[in-house]
Amino acid sequence: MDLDRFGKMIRFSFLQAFFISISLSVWAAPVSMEYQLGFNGLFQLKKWTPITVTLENRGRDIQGTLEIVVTSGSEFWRDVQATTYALAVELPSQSKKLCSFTVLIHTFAHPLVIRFRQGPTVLVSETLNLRNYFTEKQLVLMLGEKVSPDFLTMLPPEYQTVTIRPEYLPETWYGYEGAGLMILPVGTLKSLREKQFRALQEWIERGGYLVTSADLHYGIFNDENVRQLLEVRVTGFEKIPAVPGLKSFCGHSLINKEPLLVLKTEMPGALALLTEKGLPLILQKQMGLGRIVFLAFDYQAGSFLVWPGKEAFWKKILSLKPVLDLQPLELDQQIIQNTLIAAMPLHFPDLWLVFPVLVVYFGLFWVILRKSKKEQIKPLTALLGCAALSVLLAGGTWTWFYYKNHSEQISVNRFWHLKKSDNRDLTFCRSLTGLYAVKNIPYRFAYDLTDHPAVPLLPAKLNEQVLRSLSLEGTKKGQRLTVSLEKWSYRFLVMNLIVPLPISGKAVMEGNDLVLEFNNASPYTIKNGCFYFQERLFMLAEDLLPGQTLKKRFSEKEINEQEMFSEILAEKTVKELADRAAGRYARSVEKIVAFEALTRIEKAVAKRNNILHFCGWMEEDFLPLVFEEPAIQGNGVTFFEWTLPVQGAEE
Amino acid sequence: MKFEYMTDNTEKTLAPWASLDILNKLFWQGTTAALIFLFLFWREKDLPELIRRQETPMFFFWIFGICLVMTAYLNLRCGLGEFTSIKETPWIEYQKNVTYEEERPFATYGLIGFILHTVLLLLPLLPLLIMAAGFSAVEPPIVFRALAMILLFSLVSRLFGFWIYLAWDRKGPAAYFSTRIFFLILFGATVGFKEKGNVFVLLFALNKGETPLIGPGLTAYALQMLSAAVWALAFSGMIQWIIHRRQKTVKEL
Repeated sequence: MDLDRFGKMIRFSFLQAFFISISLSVWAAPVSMEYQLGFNGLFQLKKWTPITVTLENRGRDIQGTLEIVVTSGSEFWRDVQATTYALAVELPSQSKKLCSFTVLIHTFAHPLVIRFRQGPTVLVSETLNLRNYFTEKQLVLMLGEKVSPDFLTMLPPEYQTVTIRPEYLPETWYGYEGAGLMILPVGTLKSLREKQFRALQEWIERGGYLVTSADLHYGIFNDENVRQLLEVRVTGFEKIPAVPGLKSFCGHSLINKEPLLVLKTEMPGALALLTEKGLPLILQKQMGLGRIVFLAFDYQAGSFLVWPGKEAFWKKILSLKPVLDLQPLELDQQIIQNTLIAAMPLHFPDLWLVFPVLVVYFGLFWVILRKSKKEQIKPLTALLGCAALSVLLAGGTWTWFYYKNHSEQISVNRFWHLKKSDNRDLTFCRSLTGLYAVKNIPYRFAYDLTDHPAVPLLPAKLNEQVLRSLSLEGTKKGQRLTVSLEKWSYRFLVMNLIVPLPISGKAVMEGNDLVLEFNNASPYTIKNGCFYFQERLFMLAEDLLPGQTLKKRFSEKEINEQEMFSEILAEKTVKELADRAAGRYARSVEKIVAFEALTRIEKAVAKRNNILHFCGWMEEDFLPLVFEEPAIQGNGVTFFEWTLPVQGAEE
Repeated sequence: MKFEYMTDNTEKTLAPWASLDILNKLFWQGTTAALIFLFLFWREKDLPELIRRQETPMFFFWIFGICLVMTAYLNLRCGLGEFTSIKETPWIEYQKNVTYEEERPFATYGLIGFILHTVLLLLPLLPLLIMAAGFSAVEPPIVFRALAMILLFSLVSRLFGFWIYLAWDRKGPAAYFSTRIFFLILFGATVGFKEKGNVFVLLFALNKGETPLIGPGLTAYALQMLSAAVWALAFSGMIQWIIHRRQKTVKEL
């Protein structure tokens, strides 16, 4: 082979390699996507579920939208609706991004779609058959690197243990809805992202249950997250050869060859559930409605793992799960929906406005013609008169009936139901937002997703095959919720949340007198109050103003003179109270909802003489929505319900 | 340019604008439409109930439809010369009345008069139409489209009436029946073609907020307006040709 020919071959080979490398880089998709559905691929139906998507860009810079489309309903009932959860994503070249969503899945009948698109072009898409991922069991989330495999089988059958990596934990508190318990080594808290940590805190405050354990690396207890959540002070550690006290805790004592390393800890405000030689081993701390159990030893240590009593131990730990007794009074949703629709601000003009306009118009027309017929005015004058009259009235109707109507073809109203139990600071809130439109319109409002999980309610009749009901978009400015409405239709959104409401009070029986004391430290005025006590209904004449303390005494005579509860009395009381309401909207809602609530309260607490059930109204939106488009202000009214135990009263 | 139809109320004008007869007809048309409107208003007065049932109120369809029928029919009669003043003459002295519209070039006299008069006849009904559109929450572009439809279909009816008038004069039963049959075909028999062929079906769809498509980029509205415009041009062309031929014959005589 001569050199010239060899050189040619080398050049050709390089050229070939160059083209192959170009074609390969073009052929390879520049964006790849990985996802984690639920907790390690498991989720419960009708419960909020986290989805974590990791995007990797090996191509040019991309500004796109990551979307998750969840479809629910059935084709048979023609109530299929799709909800899109979207997030604006900037992906610079050679970058990787982790995006967290919390979605609500109602059925596994429809696939879930995850797609990343740039404008209308879908760059990468995955369609998931949900049948493979759902579980009916409540999940126990295990975090940590050394999770024992036998842990997966030792819990009761109604629980399913799932091991999960910290980066896939949800970023919203309601993302934990499917989780019954979370067990994590304290060191894991350090690795949580800020949003994840906040979500975990909020979940516990709203009734979540966390079990965490000691770490022999003390330094971890100085971590900001750990200090904030546990407030543990570690003073050293001790080796304990046996823990006989565990027998009283779970029925088995721990006696091993290998001693158990226990941290010497102090946890202000915590209750020691188990101590050994003055050393707290299991500490329980109440946090809002939820609970944290701190184990001062490492449950993944060898001596504990080989302990035969560990199954009973974890069952006992599970039994410490807080029971959430704060449930809303179930008002009939259909009645409230109908009330809100009937009380919407949109109305046709009254007949007294339409009728006179037509009478005046045709009356004048008739006069002109009459005069023209009697030759009192010339035909041309009559014609010009009729034309001028027509133009004038056309302008008038355009202004009063068309333009005004056209600019007010959208409307929103809201009903809040607050349920407070005893003097507990946290209050259960449920809001029902009614959106109405007489023209096709997307409602867009700023929406802090971390606090308000919104669920759309399906209207009774759908016009489309698939309803694009709701879109949650994450943008640089924050979360935005878009609800698309067709003309002459409505949609309701339900939001459930638990918020602190600084209203306190007490009810005491002093002799045979009932003494009430309410303290309102909230910014809301509570109006039109009434309470149900000992099968009687009492009205409060005074409003409970912000910052006010109200004391009332009802003598035995006053209590006995009060008429016994009946539906007629409830109707009369409600009417009397509603007449005091300010505004048409508040009046119409109070009249119907208060009656519905009182009759239900009577059924729920009748014969319980030591319970006082208070109802009142805040004639404003408890937490107003901020509409971006259209810029509208809706009506809002809040029903406040409060159950107070009466001290000194016989049951 | 002369505009005798505005001021001249004699038998020389085919449909004098200031005719008391036409104004009376308009008054009764308007009153009828208003009564129907009020009846509908009573029936569908509760707007929240309509939203609860997710039903669109049909004020727009009914009132625009009724006004279209009335205006188009009135224009058909105007075109046929049914409102021309008739001079009382003994039958022995009868001579066919020749109107200005027949004497002058159609494009520069009659057609302008027809268009302006059609607009004028719609004017008294405008407040009702606007009110109905407002209560049905129909978008402004749809309202303007529907008004354009009423005007164009009324003009087509009027042009057809005048064409028949030129062909058979207004007195004959042939003229009377052929115009009424045309009217029935235009607004009734085309129902089978749905949105693409019938103006009422299209008004119904517009009231519901639909924009029916016939083909890619071609809406039913565009198709109907286009075909009406073609008919209007065709009738105008035939009218112009008849007038021109008559004027030529008169000159030759």
